Amino acid sequence: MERYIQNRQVVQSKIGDEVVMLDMESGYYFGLNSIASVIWNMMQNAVTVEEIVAQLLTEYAVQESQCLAETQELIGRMLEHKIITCVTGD
Amino acid sequence: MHTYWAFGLTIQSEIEFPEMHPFVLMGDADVRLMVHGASTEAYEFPAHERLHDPQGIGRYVLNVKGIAAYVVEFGNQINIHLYDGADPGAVRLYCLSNAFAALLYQRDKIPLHASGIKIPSGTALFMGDSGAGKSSLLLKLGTMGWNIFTDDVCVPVQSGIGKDLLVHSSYPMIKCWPDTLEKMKLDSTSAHRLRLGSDKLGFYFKGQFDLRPLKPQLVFLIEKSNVVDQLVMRRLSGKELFSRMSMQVYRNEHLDSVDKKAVMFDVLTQLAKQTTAYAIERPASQDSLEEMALAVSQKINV
Repeated sequence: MERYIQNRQVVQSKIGDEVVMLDMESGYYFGLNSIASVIWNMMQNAVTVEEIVAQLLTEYAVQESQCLAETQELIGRMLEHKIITCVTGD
Repeated sequence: MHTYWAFGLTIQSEIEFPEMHPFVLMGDADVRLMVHGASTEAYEFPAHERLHDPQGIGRYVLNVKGIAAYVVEFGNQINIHLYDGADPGAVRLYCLSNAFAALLYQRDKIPLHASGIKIPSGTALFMGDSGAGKSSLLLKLGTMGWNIFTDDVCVPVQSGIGKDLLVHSSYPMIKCWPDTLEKMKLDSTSAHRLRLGSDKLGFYFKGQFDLRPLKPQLVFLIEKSNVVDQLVMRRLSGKELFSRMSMQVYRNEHLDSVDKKAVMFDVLTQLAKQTTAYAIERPASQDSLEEMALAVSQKINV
């Protein structure tokens, strides 16, 4: 089971309903829109894609298939920029 | 020896700086400004160099042929090695812009490219690239009765853990073009040419200068645009606000370590959280200064 958690090297701050962050390792800044910020907040603890999608479906009027695809895409981008880490196991 | 206050620092200088605010100093200054030369030969300093020592304080060198070589060290001293026949105005100008910017970064300060006026609860800042109209707006607002706080640069300071971010003014002079003063019917007799070979003027606001740091309440990010044909103002927030503000960090080439970027991150996120921010797009093709000044005044009065 793959779970995703925020990279602790990232310094973050909430401005309005969006999150901006600085990766202390790379020195790059990142900005998340409001939905991405909600997903980011869920990753304070290790979560699965399914858990994220289930939570989003309770809060937003969106098709499950679309929600899953967009969440996976976002997670892919976050992994690429190393602002989250993938942990495996139960 | 001359003593001044500028950028929130006390300064002891071997040469006179009419641009800075005179200050009677008790004890040591934060910054010592020493002058050497004048040489007819080129100094052996590199044209431009930034070095970090193990403590991270660094050394900055800027060698402007025919003007001066500036060596900025330890966050508290600027050595000016003059070239023979150098234009004094140009010597001071490079010092006030490049050398002081390097010194501020050595002190872990993040100067912002912003002008500002005093408002009842603090300051309203105007950020934008050179040519966006910050100084002209400042002069216009001055004619409308607002007191000027700073031109071009301000220096954020933390007032304490968990407390407000404040900003210091740079020095009491506005850099502007002669036609701007003419258009606003301002008396240009007290203005002086900043350096030889340029028509740009220095216009003082010494009577209004405030040594106290003020709390930024409003931020206006000004941009000249070829897309709009009338002034457009809209609220800014979140990552767009952070991103737009980060482009207005003054002399951002000095953000050359993650530690400095972390300081900048703290400053800008706090500034974004404690202010109400607006983007102003003004048409490049027409004079919208009056309209912009009125729109800004309205937001301040709200």
